[in-house]
Amino acid sequence: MTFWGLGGPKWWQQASRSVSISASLSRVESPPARADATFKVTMLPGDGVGPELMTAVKDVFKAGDVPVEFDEFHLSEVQNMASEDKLEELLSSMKNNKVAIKGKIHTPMEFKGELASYEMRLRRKLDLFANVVHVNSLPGYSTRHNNLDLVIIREQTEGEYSSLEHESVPGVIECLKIITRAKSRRIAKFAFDYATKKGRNKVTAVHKANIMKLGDGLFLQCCAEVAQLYPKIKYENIIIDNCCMQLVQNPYQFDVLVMPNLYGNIIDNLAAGLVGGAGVVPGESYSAEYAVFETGARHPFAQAVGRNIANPTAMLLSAANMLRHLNLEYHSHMVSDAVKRVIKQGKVRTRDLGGYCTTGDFVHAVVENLRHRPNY
Amino acid sequence: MQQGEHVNLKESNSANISSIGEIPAMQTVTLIPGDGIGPEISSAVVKIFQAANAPVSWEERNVTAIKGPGGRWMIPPDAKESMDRSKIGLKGPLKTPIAAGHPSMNLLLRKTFDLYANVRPCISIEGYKTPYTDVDLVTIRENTEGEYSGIEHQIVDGVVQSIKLITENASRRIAEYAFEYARNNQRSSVTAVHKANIMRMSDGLFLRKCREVAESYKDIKFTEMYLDTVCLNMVQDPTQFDVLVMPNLYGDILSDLCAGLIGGLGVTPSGNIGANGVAIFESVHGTAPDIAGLDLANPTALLLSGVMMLRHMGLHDHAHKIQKACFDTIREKKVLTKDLGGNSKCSEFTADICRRVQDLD
Repeated sequence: MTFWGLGGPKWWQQASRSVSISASLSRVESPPARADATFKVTMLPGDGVGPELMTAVKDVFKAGDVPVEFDEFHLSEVQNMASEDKLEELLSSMKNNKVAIKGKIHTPMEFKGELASYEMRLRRKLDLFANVVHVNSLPGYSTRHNNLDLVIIREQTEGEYSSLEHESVPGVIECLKIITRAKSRRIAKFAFDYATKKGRNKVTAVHKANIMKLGDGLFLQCCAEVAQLYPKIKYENIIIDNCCMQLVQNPYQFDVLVMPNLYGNIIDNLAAGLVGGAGVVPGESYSAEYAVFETGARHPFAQAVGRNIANPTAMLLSAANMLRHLNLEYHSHMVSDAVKRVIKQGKVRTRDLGGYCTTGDFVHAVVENLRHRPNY
Repeated sequence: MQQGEHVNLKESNSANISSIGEIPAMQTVTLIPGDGIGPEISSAVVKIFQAANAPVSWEERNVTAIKGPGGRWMIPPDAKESMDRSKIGLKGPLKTPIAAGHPSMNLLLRKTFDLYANVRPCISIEGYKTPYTDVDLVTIRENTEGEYSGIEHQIVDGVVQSIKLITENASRRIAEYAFEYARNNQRSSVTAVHKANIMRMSDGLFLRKCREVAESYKDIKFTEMYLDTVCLNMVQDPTQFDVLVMPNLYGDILSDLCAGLIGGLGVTPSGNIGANGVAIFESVHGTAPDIAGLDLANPTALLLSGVMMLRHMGLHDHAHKIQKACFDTIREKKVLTKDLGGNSKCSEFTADICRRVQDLD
C-alpha cells in the first residue's frame, strides 16, 4: 500500500487538516480553500482495473503537485477481502474525510447469506442517494452523435435494488421494488437544484408509470410536485422505452434526466456508449454529507486486469471534478485540460478509443501536458 | 431459400403446402385492423398480399373490451373463436383509452391467448439511413411475468411496493423458445440478458434455466451478459449481438432500443407467440389519430410483420418477394411516406410495392 507523500514538496505538512463540511439537506458544500493545507481523501481501488486507474490518478496528482493525500482501503467481495470490520474502518475514514474516490467493487452473482452486495451496503450506509453522470462528447473523438452534453441523475438507494427477494414456493420468486415518497422527492429536489446551480434548462423524468402505476406513478407525482417550485426550469417526462429509442435517434432533445435506480443503470450505460464507452464518462455520488467520485458506467472490467489497457480518462476526469469539489479550481482545470488535450491531439489513445497505447502511455502523455499550465 | 421461421414447437403449418407445382392451400388468417390508421394500413397490406398471390384468406374481426359473465373483461367471442381456429393473426395498432375501466387491449389479448414470447427481429433497412448500419439481431422477450405482473400496493402512505415475479416454468419456456428459434432460423448464438448480480435470486433463477436449456442445444452458442453491458455495447457496436433472450422489463426496453437503431417503430415488425400454437403478428407503433383517414400512414411495420407471419406459415417465396419489393421501394426513395422522408401518400406507396411484387413474378 503506497503512502504517497514521501518525496513531496517541502511545504506539505505531515499533519494535514481534514476537510469538514457542514451538512446541508440536499447539497454538499465545498470546504473553504486553503493554500497551505493538503486535503485527505479516502481511496477505494475496488476490483478489476480499479487499482490500475487509481495508480493513474496518483501519478497524475503527484506530477501536478496536487495537495491531496489518499487514505487507501481495499474492500473486495471477490478477492475475499470483505468483512464487517473493514467496512467499519472505511466508514469511519469517510466520516473524517467526507470525500472519496473509488473504483467498482465487483458484485459476484453467487451470494453467501446476504442478498445485498458490499457496493450496495456502502451506498446505503453513507446514504449516497444521488448518482450524477456527466455525458459529454470529447472534442477530438467523434462518435455517431457528437456534441452531446447530458446529465443523468439517478436515485441509487431504493427502487429495484432493494435486495428484498424470496422464494414463495419452489420455482416462484418475488423481488420487491420499493418506491417511497420521501426519497423520490429528495432526488427530484436534488435534480432541480443541480439544474439550477449549473444553469441547465430542462429536467426530464424517466419512468414506466403506464405499467407500474403505483410505483413509478408515485415517483412521477413527486417530480411534478417539486417541478412546481422551480418555475424557471422546464419539466417533462418520458417513458423509459421511448427514452432509449430517442437517445439513439435524437439525443439532443435531452438536458438533465432524473430517474429511479434500474432505469438509471440502463440510461447511464447507454449514454456512456453514445460518447465513447465506459472509459470516458465520469460520475459521482452524493449524500447530504459525503461525495464519492468514480466513473460513470461502473464495470470492474476484469478481463483487462494486468494488461495495462484500461482507459483512465473517466477516472482522471472524475478526479478533476473531485478537485473542483474541494475548491482546488486551479488544479482541477490543470488535470482536466491535460486529459482533454491528449484526447484532442489523438496521437495517444487506448484500445477502447481505437488506439494501441497502454494505460501507462496515456498517463505519461497527460503528465507531459500538465506542464503546459493554462494562464488565468 | 432460408429455412422456415418455425415459431411453434409442434408441426409447423408448412405441412399445408402441397407438392411443388400445385397451388398451395389457402390458409385463414384473422385480421384485426385496429384503430386510427389501423384500417388504412391493413387494407394496404391486404392489397399487397393479393398482388403477390399469397394464399391467405383474411377473416376480419374487431377487438374491443366487453364485459363477460362474472364481470371479467374479455375480447369478443367471435374474435376469440376465429383466432383459435386459424391460429394466426395479424393485428394493427389498438388504442388504449385512459380511465376506461378496463385493462389495455394488448394486455387482454396477451392473457386470452397466453402470448408468452415477443419476438422482434431488427434488421437495418437499406435505403433508410440511420447512424447504425449492419444491425441484424433478434430480441426475444418473456411477456407474461417479470416486472409487469401488475402486482403493486401501497404499504403505508408514501411507500409503494411493486412485485417482480420470476417463475421456473416461464423462464424455461422462454429459454426453450429462444433456442428453438435460433436453431430454426440459422442464428448462431443466444445471449441471456439479466441483472443477476443485483437481483440475485430472481434473475439468478432466470439465468439458471437458460443455462439448463442451453445444455440441450449444444449447436447454439450461449452467452450471458449484464443488461448494462448490453446497453453500453449495443450503441457502440450492435453487430456483436445475435439473438437476445430476457425477462419482461429488460425486453421492453431493449426491443425499443433496437427499434430505435434501425429507424423507429414505424418500420419494426413484431410477433407474439402463444402457448397453444397461436401466433399474432403486429405493428408496434401507435394509432396516430392525427393522420387517421388522411392516406398518409406508413404501412411498412405492419407489412414487415405480415412478412414475418408468412415465414411462420412456411410461405417463404411469398415472404421473400414482398420483403424485397418493400425494401426496393424504400431504397429507390421515389414514393416514400412522410415519416420516411418523402411526400407521397400511403396509396401511392402501396401501389408501388404492388407493382414491384408483380414484376418480380
